[in-house]
Amino acid sequence: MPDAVSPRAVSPGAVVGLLSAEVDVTGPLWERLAGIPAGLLVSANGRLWILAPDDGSGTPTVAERGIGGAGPLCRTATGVLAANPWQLWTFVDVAAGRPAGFAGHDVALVPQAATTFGSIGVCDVAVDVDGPLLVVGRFDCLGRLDRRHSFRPVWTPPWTAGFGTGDTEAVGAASNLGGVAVSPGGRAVVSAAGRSAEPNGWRDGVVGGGVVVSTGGDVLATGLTLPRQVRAHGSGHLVVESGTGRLLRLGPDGGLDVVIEVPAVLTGLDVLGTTAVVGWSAPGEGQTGLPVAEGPAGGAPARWRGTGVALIDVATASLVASARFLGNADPVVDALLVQGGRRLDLLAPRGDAANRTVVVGEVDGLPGLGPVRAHAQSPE
Amino acid sequence: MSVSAMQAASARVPPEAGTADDGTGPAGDELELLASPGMAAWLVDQRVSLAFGTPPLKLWLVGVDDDGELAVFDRSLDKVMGIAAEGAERLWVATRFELWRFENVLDPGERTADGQDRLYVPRQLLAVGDVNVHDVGVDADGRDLWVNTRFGCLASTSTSASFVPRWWPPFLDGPRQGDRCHLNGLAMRDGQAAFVTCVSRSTEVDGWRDGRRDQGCVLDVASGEVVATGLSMPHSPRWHGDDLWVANAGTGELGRVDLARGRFEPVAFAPGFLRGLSLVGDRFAVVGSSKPRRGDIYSGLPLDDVLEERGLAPHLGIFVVDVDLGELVEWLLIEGPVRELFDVCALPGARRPAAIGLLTDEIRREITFDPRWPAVPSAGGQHA
Repeated sequence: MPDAVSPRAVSPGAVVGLLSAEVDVTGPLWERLAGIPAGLLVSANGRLWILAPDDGSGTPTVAERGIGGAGPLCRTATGVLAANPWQLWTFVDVAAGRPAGFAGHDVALVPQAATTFGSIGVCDVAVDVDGPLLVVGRFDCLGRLDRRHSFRPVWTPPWTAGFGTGDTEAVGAASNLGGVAVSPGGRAVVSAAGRSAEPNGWRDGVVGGGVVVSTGGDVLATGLTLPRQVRAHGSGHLVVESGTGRLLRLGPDGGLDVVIEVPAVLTGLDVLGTTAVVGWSAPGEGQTGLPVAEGPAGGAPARWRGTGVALIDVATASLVASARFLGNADPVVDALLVQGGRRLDLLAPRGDAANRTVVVGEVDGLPGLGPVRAHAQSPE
Repeated sequence: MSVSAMQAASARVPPEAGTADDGTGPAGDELELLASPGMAAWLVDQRVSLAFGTPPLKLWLVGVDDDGELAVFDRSLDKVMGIAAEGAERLWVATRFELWRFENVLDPGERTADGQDRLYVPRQLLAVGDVNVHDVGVDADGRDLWVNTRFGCLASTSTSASFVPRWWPPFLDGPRQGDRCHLNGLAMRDGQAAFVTCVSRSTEVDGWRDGRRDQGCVLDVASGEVVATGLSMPHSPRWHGDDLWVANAGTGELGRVDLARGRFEPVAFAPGFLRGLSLVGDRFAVVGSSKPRRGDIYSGLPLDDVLEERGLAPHLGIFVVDVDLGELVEWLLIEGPVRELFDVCALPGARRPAAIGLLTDEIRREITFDPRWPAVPSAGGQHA
C-alpha cells in the first residue's frame, strides 16, 4: 500500500518492540494464520494492531494504527467495521478483486467513512441485511446507525421496561449486554450479564446470572458468568464467557459445551472455519469474586499474565498459539481474523497515508444524462 | 463606500465565549471580524444565518443573539471548502480530505442552553482523499454531488471507493488525476447538476494556469456546451429564480450569465477574489472574497489592475450585495493571517446556529435520540 507506515518485521517467536507495546508470540501463530490464510486485527491498548504472517517476503509483521481508541470489530462483505469509543469506522478492502493485490498487500483496508454516535457504550457490532447492528451497552439495547441522531434503538431485552422508560442518564447499565451475533438466517442473538431492570442490577448476580437470548424472545442459555461476544458458528454459536475464562459452544438445541478454558478473562471473539481468536487478560482488581479470578494458588502461568490474544482450534478444542502484549497493556477489546490477509494492512484514519490514498470507483453517470453526453461543441 | 470607509464604519465582533474547541479561537488565531453596522439587522430581516470557512482551520457560523447582536460561532476543520445546506436540518462541508455531513439535532422551536436554535452535529465523515473538493451540492435524492477538481469531474461519495465519477467536461477524456481545467463550481437546479465553471478548457495537467486571465467558462452540464466564456477564474455558479449567477473571481465581479447571448453581465464589484456565493431572497447575494497575494494563483489577474486603479486593497470576508442596486450593502471582514474563503452558505430560517466540534470530548457527550421512539417492548423485546 503506498505510503503506509512501515511495520517492523518479526520472526516467529520473537519479542517485538513497537511504539506503544511489545508483542510476544508463542506457538505456531504465524503458521496457523498463513495456513488459513488470514491476518489478525486486535483492538487493544487504545489502538488497532495488525498481525500479518507475511510482509511480502515471507516474514511476519506486527504494526499498530491509531483509530481514536479501541472498540469492537466486525467483518463486512467489503472490509471491516472498527469502532472507537465514539464513532464507527468503515474500512474497505481495496485489494479485493485485484489478483496482484494492492501495493503489495492482499488485503488493504482503507478508511472510507465514519459515523459519530457519541459515548453510548458500543461493545459489540454485527452486520445483517439492514447494516450494522450495535450493542449499545450504556442504554441496554441494540441499535442502528441513524442519519440524524446518535443511534436508533431497535431492541430492548424483555426484562427491561423498554427504551426510554428508564433513567437514561443513570451511570451503569442494567443488563450489561455484551455481544451480538446474526445467524445466516438473520436471527440476532444477544448476551447479557444479568436480567435486571435497575442500573447496575446485573452486578448482583454476576456469577451465573448471565444469559444468551434471541431477539425473538427465546432464552438460549442461562447460568453464565459475564458472557460477552457471541458469534454464529455452524448451526450454533460460540460464546465468550468472560468471567470463567471459557469459550463455549452453544448448540442449536440449546446444549452448551466448553471448547476451552484458560486462566484469564476473555473478551473479544472471532471465528473463521475451525480457527477462533479470543482476547484475554489476567484478572484485575475489579474482577475479584469471578471464578476466573479464583485460580490456583500462585496464580496463572506466566504466559497468561498481562493481556493478549489466543488462537483456538474449535474442532479439536485446543489452544493453537498465543500472542501477549508486554508491559502495561490494557485488556483486549476485540479481535478479528481477516480472511485472505496474509499480507494484511490497514491505513490509520485521517493519517497521511489514508489521505493520499484515492480509490476511484466505477463511473456512475448522472440520471438521464450519463457521464458525458455526446454532442458537438457550440461555436463560441 | 470605500474599503477604508468600511473598516472605519465596522464594529469588531467578538466570538461567542468558549466556542473554539481547540483553544485557538479568533483571538488565538489573531483573527478579527469586523462587521458593518447593519449586518445583524440584515440577517434578522432576511431570516438567515451564514456559514463559511477560512482555511486553514475555521468554519464560521454567523447569526444573531437575543439582543440583536451578531453571534459568531467557530469550529476547527481542516481547510473548509464547499458548503451546502440541505433543507434546515443538514449541512454538508467539504474539507481538505473529507466530506462531512452535519445534522441539526434540535427540533423546531428547541434551543440549546446557550440559546442557539440550530445545533449541527458532525454525524458522518466520508473520506474522499486528496482530490481538492470545491463546490458541493445535493441532488433531489439527497445524494451528495461535488466538484472533484483534481480529477476534473463531478463526483459522489461511495461505499466502496473514495469517490465515483458522475460527469466530466466533454473536452476532457475522462476523470484522471491531475488538475487540467480547474473545474471548480457547481450550480444545482431543481435537484440536478445544471452548470459548472472552470478556469480554462486545457487538457494538460496544470494547463489551466495559463488561462487564468480570460479563458474561464461556464458549461451547461446537460448539453456539455459552453454558455459563457472569456471569464477570469469564474467560480461559484448558482441558479436562483430564473438567473444563473457567477462570481467572476479574477475581475472581482459578481454577475449574471445571459444564457441567450452567452455573455457575463456584471452586477457588482467587490474588492477581492470573489468566490463563494449564496443568493438570499429576490434582492441579495452574499459573496465571499479572498485576498490575492503577489505571486500566488490569485494574482496577475484583471482584479489587480482594478484594485490599483481604484486605490483599493483586497479584503477577506463576505459582502452582501443588493443586486437591484448593484451595491455592497453589508459586510463582514476578517482581519488576520488568513487569506482565503472558498464558499459561503446561507442557512434559511436559522437565527443563531452552532456546531459540535471534533477536538474536545463534547463530540462524545452529545448523544441524542428521537423521543418518539416506542418505549414499551413486546413480550420478546423490541426489534424493529
